Amino acid sequence: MNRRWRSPLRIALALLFVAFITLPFVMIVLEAFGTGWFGMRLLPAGWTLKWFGWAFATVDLGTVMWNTVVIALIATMASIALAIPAAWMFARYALPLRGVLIGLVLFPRMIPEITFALGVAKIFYAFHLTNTRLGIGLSHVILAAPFAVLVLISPFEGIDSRLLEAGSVLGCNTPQLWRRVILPLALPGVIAAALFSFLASYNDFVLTLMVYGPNTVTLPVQTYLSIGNGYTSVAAAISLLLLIPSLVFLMGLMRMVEPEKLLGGLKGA
Amino acid sequence: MSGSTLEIIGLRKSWGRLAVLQGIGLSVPGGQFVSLLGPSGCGKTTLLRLITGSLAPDAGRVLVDGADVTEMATHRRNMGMVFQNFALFPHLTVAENVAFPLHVRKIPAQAREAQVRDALAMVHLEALEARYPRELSGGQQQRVGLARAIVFRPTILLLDEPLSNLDAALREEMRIEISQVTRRLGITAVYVTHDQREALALSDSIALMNRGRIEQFGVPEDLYLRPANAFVARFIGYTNAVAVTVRPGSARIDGGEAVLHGIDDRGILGPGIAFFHPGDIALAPPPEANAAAHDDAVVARVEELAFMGDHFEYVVEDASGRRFKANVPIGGTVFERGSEVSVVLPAGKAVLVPRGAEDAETP
Amino acid sequence: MLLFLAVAFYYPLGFTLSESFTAKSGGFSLAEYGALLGSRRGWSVFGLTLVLATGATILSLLLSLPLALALRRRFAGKAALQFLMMLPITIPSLVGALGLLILYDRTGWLNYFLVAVLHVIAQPIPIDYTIPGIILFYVWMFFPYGGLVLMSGVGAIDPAVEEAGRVMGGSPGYVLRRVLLPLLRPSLVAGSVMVFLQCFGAFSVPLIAGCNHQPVAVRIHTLATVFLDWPQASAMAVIMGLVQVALLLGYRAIDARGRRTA
Ligand SMILES: Nc1ncnc2c1ncn2[C@@H]1O[C@H](COP(=O)(O)OP(=O)(O)OP(=O)(O)O)[C@@H](O)[C@H]1O
Ligand SMILES: [Mg+2]
Repeated sequence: MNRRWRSPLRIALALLFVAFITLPFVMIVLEAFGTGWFGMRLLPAGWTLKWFGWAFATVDLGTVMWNTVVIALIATMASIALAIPAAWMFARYALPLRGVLIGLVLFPRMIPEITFALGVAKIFYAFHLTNTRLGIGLSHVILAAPFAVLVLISPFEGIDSRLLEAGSVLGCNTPQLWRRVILPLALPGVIAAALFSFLASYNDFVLTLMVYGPNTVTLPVQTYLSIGNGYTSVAAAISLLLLIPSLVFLMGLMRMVEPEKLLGGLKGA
Repeated sequence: MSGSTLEIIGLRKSWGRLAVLQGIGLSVPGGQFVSLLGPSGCGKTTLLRLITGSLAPDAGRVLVDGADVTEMATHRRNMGMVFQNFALFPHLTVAENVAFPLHVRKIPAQAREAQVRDALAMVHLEALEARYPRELSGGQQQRVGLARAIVFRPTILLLDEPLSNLDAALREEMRIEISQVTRRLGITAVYVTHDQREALALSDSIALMNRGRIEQFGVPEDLYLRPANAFVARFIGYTNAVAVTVRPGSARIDGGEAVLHGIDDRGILGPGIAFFHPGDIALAPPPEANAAAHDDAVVARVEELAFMGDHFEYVVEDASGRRFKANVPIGGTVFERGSEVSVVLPAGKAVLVPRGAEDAETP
Repeated sequence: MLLFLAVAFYYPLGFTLSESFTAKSGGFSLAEYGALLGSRRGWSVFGLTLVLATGATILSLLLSLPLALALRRRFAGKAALQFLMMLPITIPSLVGALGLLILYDRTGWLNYFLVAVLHVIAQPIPIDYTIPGIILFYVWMFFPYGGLVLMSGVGAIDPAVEEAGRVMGGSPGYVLRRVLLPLLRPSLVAGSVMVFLQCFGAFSVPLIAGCNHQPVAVRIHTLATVFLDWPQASAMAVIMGLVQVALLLGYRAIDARGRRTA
């Protein structure tokens, strides 16, 4: 097979493909670190960190990042708190209408975000929730929790019920059983669910765009606002910060699972 | 129709640094049934894939009827192949699977249907032609594989361990079927297996492979009665081996006084190994009771014995730690575990091979 | 969990529904749907969405299929390539959209490269803000869904089956048509549906690179936040949701039938 790859046509096609995928990222990096680069050169004239400085100075990037992280953490904790009992029910009990219930839980991920974002926005305006991190964080649970349930069902199914019996026999009450037996056994699953939830919230744009307020601007929204204002370089600098968790997450994930298994959407449209 | 001759000259193939085939030469006359016999991983499948052109050799040539096909594309070689894991087309029915090679060759519909029916009849699968491969048992799938490989009357048929996925009874039945079909069609067949009994039963000749080389190529009797070396002897089924020193017409068993008189020395002089079948070894009461009667015997102790119905299977060990397996017919004396026996090694049944450096520490 | 979703998700969803059925004067009415489906404007939004999604789906498959077939064997750098393919679908879509915009802008890097460095074209070609341009962006962002499904589909085919096709006399093209493609059909369907649904719901790309070309998701956003016409936006959202659910259910049905007969 090696011989086939050595042919120049194949190499050219492979390079073209790699360029097709990577060039947009290269552009963002050049835009974020370059000066004197208004499309009239292949590479920027000089290199600078000033766009990051601008970002912090003009749009209060520190607060935006803090918002994004706090909101993501709220969403993650709430999702996990909701998803653990739900996934446990789905995994361990023969519920009536199980398929329908799972469908109802996953339904938010099946329809376009914008469709329910409208209703959420309406309600947020009515109850003045738009300007609180807690409110936005909770709204993100809609996006994160279905995923968390999906991720948690199979590790919970995998717990041998004899271990639970053994735990009870050895004197654990129900909370102790959870703390000492179930959660440690399902820990990798819980961590995966938490990471998925965090990323779903951190990266979310559509829903946040519909519900954010002046004090709850997040990184994706700020990226959008900066693009809208025409500050492409500032937007590029911000989007690099926005990229970090996804890249870390992806690299970690590639090590653990086959990429084909990860389909199902990690982000909003 | 008669089969094509197949000639293989100096084939080499490496995967990275692993040299899988290290210069294979083989010549198969038209219509012959040849087995490639060897342990798992010795390169049998690789050799078949070089013959079909699915792999390109690093060196060497493949000739069919004298014409060099080494560079020819696989699909032009007109060879049939039965694959190790069936490799049926999962989206096609039995009949469609068998018709595939005919479709490719643009055989008109009428002739095609007749040929498919013939081929299916030959492997007794007429009734199942509308089924999909996953609805068939392993044996049935393998029959479809065979029908698909012969339906277009290839001049060379390659079979890659076609019986290894079947149970014992089916294996017997399919073996006979393969033998009949190939002989009826007069196809040149190359049959890969790691089961020496299959190879002995089916083949006109056998190429015994080991680590990418052919250790011996010959008719079954040759390999059985005149193995070229210890590897061949062991692989073909000789379980008892003793190191000997050979003189013309006799061989002295190393580390003792026993001598095998009247042995066929095959021109081997010096260090050698004598092989015996378990059924050829006899056990007798120990020499105190019957001194000097058995010049060709070694004294040993019974380690294991098992009743196998028509015979006892003994495992005995002599003072130097040499073990022998002996199958003794029922009706004679039974020796208890731990008792001393005299192991009689019949010189007339011994098979001698030269002892090379690699055999120094064993037999 | 269900309770939370009931409050946080199904209630707003119901809100959207009821809003869409509310007349401007209050009370139940189908007026919004009438206005939407009775106007050229309404139909053109859905038409544009379908054109974009269909075009991008077809191109994505045309890119994914050769890619999956070319990559079916192991080779050095395969993991790196898969990592690259995961990138567009893992990162926030807004970031991807920004990168695409910078690269493909009229005064962007690619046009400069083609005009001033390679001299293959005389004038910069407009890419962003055009329909083919948006389709190209969709392909970049969503083709990995199809590509990864196809790669796993190709990986599930026993290589010996393909080899059998060749040995039995099938030329490479024949084996591709009669063996590989039929075996890949479920993956092709699944991959297209995945890509299509992603394109159908796409928001970030057309939002910042679409300009006057507003597919459904963007139109809903504009109606709600610019024109403050929430009932009309809601009606559109309901139709969008219904279309997507119908597509998903249709796919499930095909898939289930395929499983039963295949
Ligand atoms: N595509 C490949 N890449 C790397 N190594 C390979 C490949 N195919 C085969 N090998 C190696 O070549 C050697 C011979 O393989 P081959 O399949 O020819 O053995 P075999 O004699 O058919 O064994 P078996 O009886 O188990 O089928 C093995 O060590 C195997 O690991
Ligand atoms: Mg093999």
